[in-house]
Amino acid sequence: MEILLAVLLSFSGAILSPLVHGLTRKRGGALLSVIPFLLFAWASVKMWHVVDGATFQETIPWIQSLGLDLVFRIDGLSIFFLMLITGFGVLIHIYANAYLSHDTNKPRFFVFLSLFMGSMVGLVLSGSLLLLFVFWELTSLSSYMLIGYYHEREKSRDSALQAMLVTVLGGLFMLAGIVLLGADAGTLRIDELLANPQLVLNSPNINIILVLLLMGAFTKSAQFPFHFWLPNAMEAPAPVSAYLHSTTMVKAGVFLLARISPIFSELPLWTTLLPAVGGFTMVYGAVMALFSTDLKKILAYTTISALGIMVMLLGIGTVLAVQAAMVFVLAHALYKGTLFMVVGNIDHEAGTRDVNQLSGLRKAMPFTFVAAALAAMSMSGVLPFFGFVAKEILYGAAADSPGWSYLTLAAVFVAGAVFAALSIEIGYKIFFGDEAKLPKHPHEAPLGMLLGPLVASGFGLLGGVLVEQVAQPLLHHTSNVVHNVDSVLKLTLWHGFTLIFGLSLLTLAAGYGVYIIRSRVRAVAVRLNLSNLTGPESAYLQFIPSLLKVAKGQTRFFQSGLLRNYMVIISTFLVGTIALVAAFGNGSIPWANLFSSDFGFRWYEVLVVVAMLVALVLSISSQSRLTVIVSLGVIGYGTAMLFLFFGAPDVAMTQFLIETLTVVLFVLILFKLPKFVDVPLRVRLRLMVPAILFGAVMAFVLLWLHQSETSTALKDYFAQNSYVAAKGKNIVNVILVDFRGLDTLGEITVLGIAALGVYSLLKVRDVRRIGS
Amino acid sequence: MEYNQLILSSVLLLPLIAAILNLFLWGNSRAQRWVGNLFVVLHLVVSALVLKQTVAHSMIVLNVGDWLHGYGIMLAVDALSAGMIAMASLLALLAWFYSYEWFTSESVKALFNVVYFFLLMGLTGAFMAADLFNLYVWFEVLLVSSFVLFTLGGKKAQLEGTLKYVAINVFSSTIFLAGIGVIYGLTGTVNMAAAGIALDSLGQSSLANVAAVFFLVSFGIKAAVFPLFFWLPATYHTAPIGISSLVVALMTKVGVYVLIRFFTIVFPISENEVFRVVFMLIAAFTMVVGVFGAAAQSDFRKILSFHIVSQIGYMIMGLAIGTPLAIAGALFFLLHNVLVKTNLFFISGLVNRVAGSYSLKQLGGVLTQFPLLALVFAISAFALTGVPPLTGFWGKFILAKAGFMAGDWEIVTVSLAVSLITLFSMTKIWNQVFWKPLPQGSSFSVSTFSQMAKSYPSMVLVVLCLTVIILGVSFFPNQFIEYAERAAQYVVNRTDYINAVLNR
Amino acid sequence: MDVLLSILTGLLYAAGLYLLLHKGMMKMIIGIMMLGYASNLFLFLVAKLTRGVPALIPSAADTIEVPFADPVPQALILTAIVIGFGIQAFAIVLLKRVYLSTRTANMDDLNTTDKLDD
Repeated sequence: MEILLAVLLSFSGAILSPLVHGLTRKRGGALLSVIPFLLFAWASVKMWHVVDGATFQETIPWIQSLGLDLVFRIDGLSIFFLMLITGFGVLIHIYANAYLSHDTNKPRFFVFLSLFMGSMVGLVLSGSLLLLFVFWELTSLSSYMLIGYYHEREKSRDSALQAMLVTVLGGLFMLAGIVLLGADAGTLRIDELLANPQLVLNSPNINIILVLLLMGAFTKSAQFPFHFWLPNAMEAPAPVSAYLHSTTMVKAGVFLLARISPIFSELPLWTTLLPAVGGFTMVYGAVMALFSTDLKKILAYTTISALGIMVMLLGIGTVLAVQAAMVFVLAHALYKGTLFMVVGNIDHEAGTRDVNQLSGLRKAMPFTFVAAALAAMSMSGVLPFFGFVAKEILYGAAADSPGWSYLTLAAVFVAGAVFAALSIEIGYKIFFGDEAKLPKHPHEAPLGMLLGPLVASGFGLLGGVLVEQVAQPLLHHTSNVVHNVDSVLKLTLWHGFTLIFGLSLLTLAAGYGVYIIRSRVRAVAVRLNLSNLTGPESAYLQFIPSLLKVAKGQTRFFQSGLLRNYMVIISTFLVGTIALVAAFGNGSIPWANLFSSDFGFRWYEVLVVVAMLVALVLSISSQSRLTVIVSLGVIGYGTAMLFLFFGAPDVAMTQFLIETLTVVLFVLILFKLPKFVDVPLRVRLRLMVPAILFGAVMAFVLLWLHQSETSTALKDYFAQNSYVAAKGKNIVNVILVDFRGLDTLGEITVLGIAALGVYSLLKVRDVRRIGS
Repeated sequence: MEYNQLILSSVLLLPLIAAILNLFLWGNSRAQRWVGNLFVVLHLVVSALVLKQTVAHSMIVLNVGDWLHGYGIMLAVDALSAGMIAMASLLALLAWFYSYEWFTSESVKALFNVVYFFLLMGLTGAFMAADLFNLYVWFEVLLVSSFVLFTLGGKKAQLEGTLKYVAINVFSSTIFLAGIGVIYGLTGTVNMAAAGIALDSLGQSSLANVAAVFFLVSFGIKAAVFPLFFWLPATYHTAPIGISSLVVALMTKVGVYVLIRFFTIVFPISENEVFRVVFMLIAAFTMVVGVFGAAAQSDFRKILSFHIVSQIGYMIMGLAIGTPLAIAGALFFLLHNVLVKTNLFFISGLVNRVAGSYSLKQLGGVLTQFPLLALVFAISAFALTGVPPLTGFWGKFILAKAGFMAGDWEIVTVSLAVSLITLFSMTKIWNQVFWKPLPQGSSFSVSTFSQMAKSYPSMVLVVLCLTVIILGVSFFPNQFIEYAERAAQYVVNRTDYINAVLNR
Repeated sequence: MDVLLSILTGLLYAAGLYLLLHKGMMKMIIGIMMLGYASNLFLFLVAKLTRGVPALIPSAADTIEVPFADPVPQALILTAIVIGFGIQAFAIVLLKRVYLSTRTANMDDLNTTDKLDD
């Protein structure tokens, strides 16, 4: 129950936000930060047990019919992410409260923020893949609301939609994977799957399952070619970017990979696809970041690159690589979260995010500068920051990777150099130099907007200095869960003058070099139009309009508004399906006997039929209303005559009566209507095709039916009981009033309603009559 | 009379009594209203009692006139029927109160108050009929009531739409009657259970297949499946929304219900490869064509009405897969769809009342003006698109699971892809109506949610109630799923039904 | 004779559908009526035809001896005829109202409700 309550608590801000903001509009969001704070404190307590090797699990029955219980699990992996989410949750709550202090929609923002935080907490604590998916989708949904927070802007709305469509697309693949996995393995509980990976590995669909799950992870964690939603999501307010798009949500994909890694990491598909996709994304993101001049875009692309690193490391799958991935998750969260908040401050106070415009902000924004500088140093991997530790172990893992180690190392080096260059730009360039003329006169951000960046970047420093005391014990268990073996994580700040350390220094030097030539690189990129090389995004951008085009085209075709088309389609479908099932059913069609019959003719019967046929032709072809009505009468009376000839006097009488009534009604009501619309012969012939097909099939069915024997049980029963039990000599009447009396009740009801309808049409109108 | 028979006949006759009472109270719409209030509640209560009895006895049968079982007309209620009746009754109650504030003209009110109950009677009868011809009669009661309701008020668009609706339905009834004829010719009975046994002995003969096609087409028109759905988008958006949402939501579901009933009890398709393929294709095309239709529209109500078509496809998908789990998925999806879709229509009606339009171009700014309404819409909209943990997700999940387990991965793929486009088209509404600022020249007639609630109290109340129900089913779906599984098991395992009806 | 009647029924169905496909509103109503005749005859013909022996129990007897006309389809037809009449009456009046409010008798002009608006 304890974990469930924690999850519920993490959602509670969604309900409390309007109330808290009702109490104190100014400090509402800050007050709500108590929720993540409590959760963080709880997580810290739990962490002590986890460090001692404990795992917590609880199961609360929920939807047993689907095998979906509320299974929650706290182990090394989930506690690490939980602390990340709740810790940053506190900072972001405080930050957002200040950032949005003048915004009337602030309470709503915190509703969505709490919804998001709750979903993330639920996601990492889920002990079953299906439950994880439930929260997974909720993060997409709440992210949609948060990206579209400035919903008056069309661009915000479009970006929100794009982010959601891409991640939900991935989610659907993932759902298919989960369903398939559940069907094959017989369970979706993570503890059972981890305890017995063979359940999954024995499945014949194992590779399909993996690819489907990876689609979820790749879209969420913005891997190439699904990355494009992330830079566009920068339309969101800064706290959203800092929280969702750098520290937590985009890492959900990484979390998923880490979660399932013990099951899949031995598969060749895993060890080739992940490093390939992750590695490419890493380099691609770094290069695109270098081409950008909008600070938020720069951060977004470096985030994509960093996510690529994590995916790559998990794919390499050695002990060291997994450890490196987890260390990097923490390091990246600390510096990237800071930088997003820093950029938020700059945007908020200076009114622009263009690196070329910004300079000399150090004096106006001293505290923001401190945070930025600390984070930038961590990002570039300078001693003694935690980023340095991460970079060292990253190089170690790359050098140690089982295949393609030189290529991997080179790729990491390129990304590292770009990171270093951009760190210099963000941490140094925009704060030093001349004070530029900016849209707003810059000044320091309020306290609430400084706390977050300062604390987060401070931890980046602390994590480096105290790496053995703080980071190591936590991440040790985290990586062990991911790798599912007991291995020792050794994190130290200082390894001595190793080759790797040399590489680190070289990276910084190269970074400086890239920094120097960055303007020229960007100029080349602009000339070659490289930053507009949207690639996969253009596929998305073309897909939506073409989807709409197809949709409109087919809708125009099917929903043409012409009754004629509808009827043709319906009757053709009937005829076609009958042909299909008759052809594929058992037993052959008695073509030869179809027209054979020993039921003779009488001249008067034939006469009636001929009269009806003549009337039929006339009613179709005649342009005279009188002729048509008379022919209609002939057909009606003819039918009645046939009933009379073949032993159905009651039916015949009714038919006579009704026919007369209908014709009278017809003449009374419709006689004043204009002449028939003239239709050219060509069109008429064309319309005859479906009609004749339909008629032919109906006649054919009747003839075919005559070849089979009908059971007479019902007929005999009525004959036996009509007089004996129901005291009626006329069996048809007895059936109507007795055996099937309920039908007659319904029939009378229909007549009554129709009468009401006629009354309604004739008498009741609130609309003026056109023309008269 | 035995208790079971008493409640079964009352659930059918209560609406008739209400209609007749209201006919006598013509001209006094206040009194009619109260009769209506009383009877919608009574009907729901009795439906609940029927539901309770089927849970206890699995099946109750009413042999009208006490003739030998299978020779007279039989009414039979199993878990499936009872669930459908209860659902229809609940919806009828909500739509009744929702329509409170819609009509102004006295004579329209008087007519509505009568015909509404005839409609309810037709619905109830259709869900109970164990006899094909009796089903036809209830269908006609239902249809002619819907004709009258659709034309209430007599606006031009309503008349136009209804004319097509009448023509298509006359054709549908023609096909239905022919189907009944063929079944009688083949088996000598029109009782579903008896016909089922007789058809079994014929094997999968071609003529039996042909007979089944008539029902497929006729019921398919009612259910609005591809390529027979045309009446729905042509008519739906023309009538007053309280009426159209009730009629269309339930008309299509009656269609789905009879498809399930017929193609399990009378003519089981689970072993019939040709029919399975036909149903698979119908399901896939219905989903795709419907959702494309929705994506193409730019009118609040038209988007929603095409979604109905698309979602019928999911239910047919369950029938096509044919395992008990799949049919349970279809049934749960049906419940979900009725609740969520109706709520969305009701919300569109509210928006229309305050903003005076259904056109996405002219609407906007609802989130800023009425955040609570936006929340209520968002819950239903995301439930519709199958975002967990809302109702639509459970339905989608069960169907996907059943599909994979039966090896029908093609249809599962289609259904998942369609759900993405569904999401896309729903965000279109969210974008245009709720997020986008109110366009120049448009305005709201009231300025806050509480004013809206004061002007349209029962409409707002109904929408809120439905939202609570949707949330309830979303978070506690277990009982509903279990019920659906039991109902599905019962129809797939047809012998119990057949034996109960024929008293064997 | 049963073969001839089956073909006649088929022709009635064909004519009914053909008229429904017609542009003219009046033709549409005639089509609806034609489909009604076709349905009745179809139901009548699914049972074995019997010439001239209605299902009437002789006054002296309790039951009736075969052959006699199958009463079941007859009962069904009777119900169907009456229901069909109700629907036709409504349709006729509806048609009139549609004409009065649109001033057109051309079905092709009635496509405003379901056309896709751009």
